[in-house]
Amino acid sequence: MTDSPRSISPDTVLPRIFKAAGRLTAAATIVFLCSVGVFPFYWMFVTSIRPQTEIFEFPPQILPSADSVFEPYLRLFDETDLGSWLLNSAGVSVGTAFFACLFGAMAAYILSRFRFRGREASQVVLLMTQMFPAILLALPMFVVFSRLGLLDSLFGLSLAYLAFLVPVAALLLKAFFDAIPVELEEASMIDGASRIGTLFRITLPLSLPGLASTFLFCFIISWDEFLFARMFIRQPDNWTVSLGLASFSGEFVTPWDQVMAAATIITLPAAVIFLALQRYLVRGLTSGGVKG
Amino acid sequence: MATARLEKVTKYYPDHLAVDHIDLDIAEGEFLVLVGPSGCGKSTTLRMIAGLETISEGDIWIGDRRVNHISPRHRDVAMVFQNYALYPHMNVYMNLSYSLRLRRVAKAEIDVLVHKVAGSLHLTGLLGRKPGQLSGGQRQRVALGRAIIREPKLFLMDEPLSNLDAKLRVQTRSEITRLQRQLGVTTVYVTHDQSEAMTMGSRIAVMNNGKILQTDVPRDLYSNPANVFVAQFVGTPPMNLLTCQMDKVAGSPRLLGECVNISCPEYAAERLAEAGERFLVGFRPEDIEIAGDDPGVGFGGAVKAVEDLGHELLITVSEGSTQFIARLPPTVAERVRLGDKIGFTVNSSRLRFFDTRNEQAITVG
Repeated sequence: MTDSPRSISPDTVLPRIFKAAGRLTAAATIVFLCSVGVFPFYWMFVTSIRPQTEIFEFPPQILPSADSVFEPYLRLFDETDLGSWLLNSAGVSVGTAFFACLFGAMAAYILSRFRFRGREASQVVLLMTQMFPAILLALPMFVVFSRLGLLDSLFGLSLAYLAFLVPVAALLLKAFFDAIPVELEEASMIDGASRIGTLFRITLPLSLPGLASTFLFCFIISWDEFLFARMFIRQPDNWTVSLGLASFSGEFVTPWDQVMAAATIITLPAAVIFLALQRYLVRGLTSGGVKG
Repeated sequence: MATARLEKVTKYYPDHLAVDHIDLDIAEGEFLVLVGPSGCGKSTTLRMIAGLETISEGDIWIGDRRVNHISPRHRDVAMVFQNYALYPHMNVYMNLSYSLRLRRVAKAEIDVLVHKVAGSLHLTGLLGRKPGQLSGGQRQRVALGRAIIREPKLFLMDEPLSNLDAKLRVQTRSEITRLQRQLGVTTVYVTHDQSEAMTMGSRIAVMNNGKILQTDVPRDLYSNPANVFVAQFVGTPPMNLLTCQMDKVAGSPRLLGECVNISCPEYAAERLAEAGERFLVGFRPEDIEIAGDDPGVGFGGAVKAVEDLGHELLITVSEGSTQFIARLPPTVAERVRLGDKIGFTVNSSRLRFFDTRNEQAITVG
């Protein structure tokens, strides 16, 4: 007998079945959670290419329509100022994220590396800036900004965002700086670098993951922001994407296909940046979070 | 190459005194080891020499320059850190050449120097690797290389061996000593390990509680400790210290106490009589010889523990609340049994005496 069948007994088979069932359950859970997350985006895209007549069909069609149309996308650029909204938003978001990282990094470095009177207190204050509802701050800021002539300007809007985001960036980056051993900086200074030189040669390169995730965080917050944009910006020329999108909903009609097409286009830049920085982001979130 | 001098150097922290008015003269080309238990201020002292800590009081001189307010990068010192502090985002080549690149040395010259240093430390094949891809011993060598490539005035080393395993530590120990002798660069080396200090240092400064207790060459430190702390810190096992007092028995002075019944050496009698009623007599475990069954004189007691290390026996002998350790050749192994009474003779020139009140050595003869 060369190939005798291996003995099959409940003792050996049952654990395997349980193991397989366990994995299957885990996989099913992951797929379910992912689809919950992805479905709105899917629905957004599918609706955007559905012919207007089919949008309100009942029961709704899950699959894309057979007569899919891409014409809303073309109409968007022809009939609306989507292009300039995108440019405005890109300018505001990139600028805000850049300066939030720059100023945040400076504050974070001081908080992380120097011992001075009021160090603990200033961290608490930074945290407290995040505790107020936005609308509570928006009103006084509106008054101040109008006195300063900063209303209706993208620069002013950026400034308003920075007021919120610099403290967040500082706290995020402090955690990253804290995770970099001080000895590296000391070694560099003994090796002949100045403190600033050390910051640029050693500390910042090592905190790239942290900078990337902070940049991304600030970018997405300012890309999505609506309340401040609504209050501070009047002229359609200065609209950001969130204002532009809101302008679609009319008193009598809302062109849902165009809304969804615009939403799809607006989501794309954030998604692209997210994917580009994802490598750093995952490393950054773990390396900064797990200290020591 | 340079000398270094510390004058009344002191470091206060808000809640404690870390370094307490220490004076230290380091000669050109010397390998000075700062040794002491953790928290004794040795690392703080080293960091003050490097310029990483400010000096609360006193002066530090490197060569003939007072460096109190000179930044680390202008002191021309190189430091090896306990955790190596290699730049993780640079490969070995970039790590080694970092200080040269900062000094804008010509590329060709850097290349020559890096290869020379890498060759002497067996790192040539690893120049392209990042620190994360190196073993502990290799990282250690890169850290050393980064220090020697600059030919600085002073080497400062802060427990550079404590992250290595025991075998590698012994190897690297001799490697570092060899490099230091070869380069002749004045070195200050911090460790808490007294055997490291004894084997590496050309001179050793023992620190405790922010003070330097004794600075001496290893041999003198071992045989003539200046106080009880040094006597017990240096040597494994440490120096035996037994409390005793002097009594006249039949006209001649004797030292008596638990485990102790010896005739007082003549040269010491007068000085000891002045030192007070009770004092400590000290001797190294290898300075006594077995005298057979308890003769009643010499050092003696019951055998409490025997450790056979193969090349030697360590025997713990006790009487009452006192105990001492004897280091004996393995040949006597059969004669020593647990619980036996046992006596030892001592060459009285090997005895050291300490005051019980201030714990300082009593100089006799």
